[in-house]
Amino acid sequence: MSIAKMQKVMLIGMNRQKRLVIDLLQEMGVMQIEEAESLQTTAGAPYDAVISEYESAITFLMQTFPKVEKGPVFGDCISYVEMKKCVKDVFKKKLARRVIVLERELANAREAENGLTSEMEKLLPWQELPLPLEYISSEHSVIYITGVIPKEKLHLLEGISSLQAAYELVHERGEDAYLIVAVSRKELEQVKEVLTNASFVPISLPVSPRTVKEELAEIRKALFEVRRRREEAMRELASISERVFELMLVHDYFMQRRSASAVASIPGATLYTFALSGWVKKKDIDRLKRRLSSQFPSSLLIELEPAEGEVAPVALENHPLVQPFESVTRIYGLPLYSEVDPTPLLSVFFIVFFGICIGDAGYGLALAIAAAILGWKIRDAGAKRLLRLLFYGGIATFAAGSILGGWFGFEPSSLPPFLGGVRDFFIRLRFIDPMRDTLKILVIALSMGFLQVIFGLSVSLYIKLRDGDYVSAIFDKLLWIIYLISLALFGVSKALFHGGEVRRISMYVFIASAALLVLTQGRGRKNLLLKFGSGVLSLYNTVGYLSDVLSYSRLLALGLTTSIIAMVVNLIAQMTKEGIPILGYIFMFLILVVGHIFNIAVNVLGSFIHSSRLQFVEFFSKFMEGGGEEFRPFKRDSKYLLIE
Amino acid sequence: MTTGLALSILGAALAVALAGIGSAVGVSIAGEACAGVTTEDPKKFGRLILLQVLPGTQGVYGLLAAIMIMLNVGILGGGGIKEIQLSTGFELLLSSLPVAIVGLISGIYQGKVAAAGAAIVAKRPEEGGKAIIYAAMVETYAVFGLLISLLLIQGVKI
Repeated sequence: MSIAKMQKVMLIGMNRQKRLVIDLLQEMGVMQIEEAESLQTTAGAPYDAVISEYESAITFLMQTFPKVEKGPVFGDCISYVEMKKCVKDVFKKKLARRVIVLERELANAREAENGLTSEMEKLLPWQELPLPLEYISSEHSVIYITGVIPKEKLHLLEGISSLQAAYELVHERGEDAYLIVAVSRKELEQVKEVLTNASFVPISLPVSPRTVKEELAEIRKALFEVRRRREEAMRELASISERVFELMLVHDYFMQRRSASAVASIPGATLYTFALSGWVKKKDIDRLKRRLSSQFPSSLLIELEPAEGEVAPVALENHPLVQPFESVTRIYGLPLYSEVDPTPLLSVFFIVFFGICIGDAGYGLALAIAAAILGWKIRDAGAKRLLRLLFYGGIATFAAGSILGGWFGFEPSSLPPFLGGVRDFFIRLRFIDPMRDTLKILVIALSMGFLQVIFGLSVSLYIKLRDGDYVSAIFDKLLWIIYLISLALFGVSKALFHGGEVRRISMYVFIASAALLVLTQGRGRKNLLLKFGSGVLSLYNTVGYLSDVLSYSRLLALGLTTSIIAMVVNLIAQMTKEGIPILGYIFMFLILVVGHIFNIAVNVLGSFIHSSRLQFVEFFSKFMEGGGEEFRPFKRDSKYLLIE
Repeated sequence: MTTGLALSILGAALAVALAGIGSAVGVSIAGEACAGVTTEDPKKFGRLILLQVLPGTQGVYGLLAAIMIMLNVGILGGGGIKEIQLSTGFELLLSSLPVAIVGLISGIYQGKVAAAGAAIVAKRPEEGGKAIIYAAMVETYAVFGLLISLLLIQGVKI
């Protein structure tokens, strides 16, 4: 229905114009070129180095300066002409290389700083040592040992004064005492033993002609220098990050050049001409032909019949109002080219189910307003589409909620009285109370399910008729539709029409269609017994359809979930208001805001998922298989910027 | 307190506890997988958290059933606690079982599916929606359990 018609084409042109023709194709962005994707990797190689350089520079800036991050979503637009004009100047500045150099410098500085700081930590306790460090480490007849010992064990060292040794306390910190011990070389071993017994831990100090104090001064100076360097690098990076836009521009430009060169590297046909084959939407063919013939009169666009087994790529085309629903279809995957686009078919069902699943008029309003505001601010196309869908969802929720739900968990009668007539209108509109008439909503949910299942079968019937498969259309689809409707009518006739004519007629139709199904469903079999057997067995499918319909009971369950949670939030809020004096109002307000926002978030997610699932499992299975390849025209792609 | 009331409270407690355990285990299984992916690519946090909370709904469903029981017997909502017959208490206790049992088991299994889905988000983030749908398939049965529990609780006349 709204899958774009595709035409296989071959474009033939002169080799000397190849570059220009490819530029035109990229500008128009209407043709998907075969093999282009697979050649991307090899032919793009010369550009890869530049692209990855800019990419890593941009990523680094994004991580270092959080405000850069927002770039692409709220980003600026730029026209292609402008882009091309700027790119040369910007590229000359080699900003990306500079960023990478600075990044390395920053890392070096950080490493140096860490080294110096730990060195300083180590030396700090030894400040009082008056000797140059060299002197301590050198070996004379007296050997110096430096180290640390727990204070309470100091008394164990008394013993060494009887040996040829002495120690001096240099520094105390917490439980630790820093000592320098002087030992005669002869008695080194004995002294060491005493020291070890006293839990002495030796610390070796660096070798240097300076004293510890002088050494520390040196380190401080170096540290200052390193920090200055780091700050300088940081400042320069910050100033570049203000112009991250320029980096993105170069990145995106080269990305486009890369894909163009990939297309250019597709093997040419002859010495003087090149050929590109691919797919174009039928409606774009004329436009493409006109542009080609006016700019490159020697080029030729030939329309081809697709080869056996060749499948056209799929592009969905929908009315702007329906487009947001493509997000739902895409989660499942695209339909095959030969199938129909389920997007417009599912749209009404999806949004109604979504509304019933949330089912609170107040939440609906809140959701619609939030989605509208965000959608107005964000420029990213995918996010915008999703927000539009949520906006519809909000409106549907408002409608469903005012008929069979509450207002932020309250009855409509508790709407503020100044609304007057509007309030009365909503009170009258809400003719089902979900908490009391639960069964009514269950019946509504199941009938909607039945409706969608029958609708799905009808779509399948349409496809069979369109493809000229009349036998299957009548015996597999139409017969089943009649069978299911008569079965349902028979089932509800007692409750709705008090039996009578409807019951009698539907019973006859049901029996007749069941008999026909038994006779025809086995028509593929050769053996007469098997024919009949699989005919009877096919009636078992009824159970499948029944479980499909029952699956829609989730609409009721999810709707109840929302209203009960909303009710609980209000209940807790009221309890805090009454329980806590004065401050109670503040807590009540907080509980109401946080609670309802939580409830909306959880239920929007749940409703979206479950409403989608009903489309995928219960609806799509009736008429489509899916698995179409998406139409990816060769165009000016961009990663960071929006290019007009 | 009558034995009937005690049984109703047991029902509410089972609904919250069992379904809550199911969700807690499920969310933790999913969370472990998601954390693994986040170490590789912290930007995927937003998509992953969506996947992680999916098995958390069972706990909410248990909570709902418990609150409905509490409203029914008058523990919540003013009006005072009602006189609960022994048989009524049993009825409420039994009504809580669908959501309690299915919540416990489906929560754990949904967690496993969500954890597997984390791999989809890791390797093909653009297909993350499919991971969510897979996990939601398991949840269907918890929804049905809740539905029946709620209908049963409403049906018990006091």
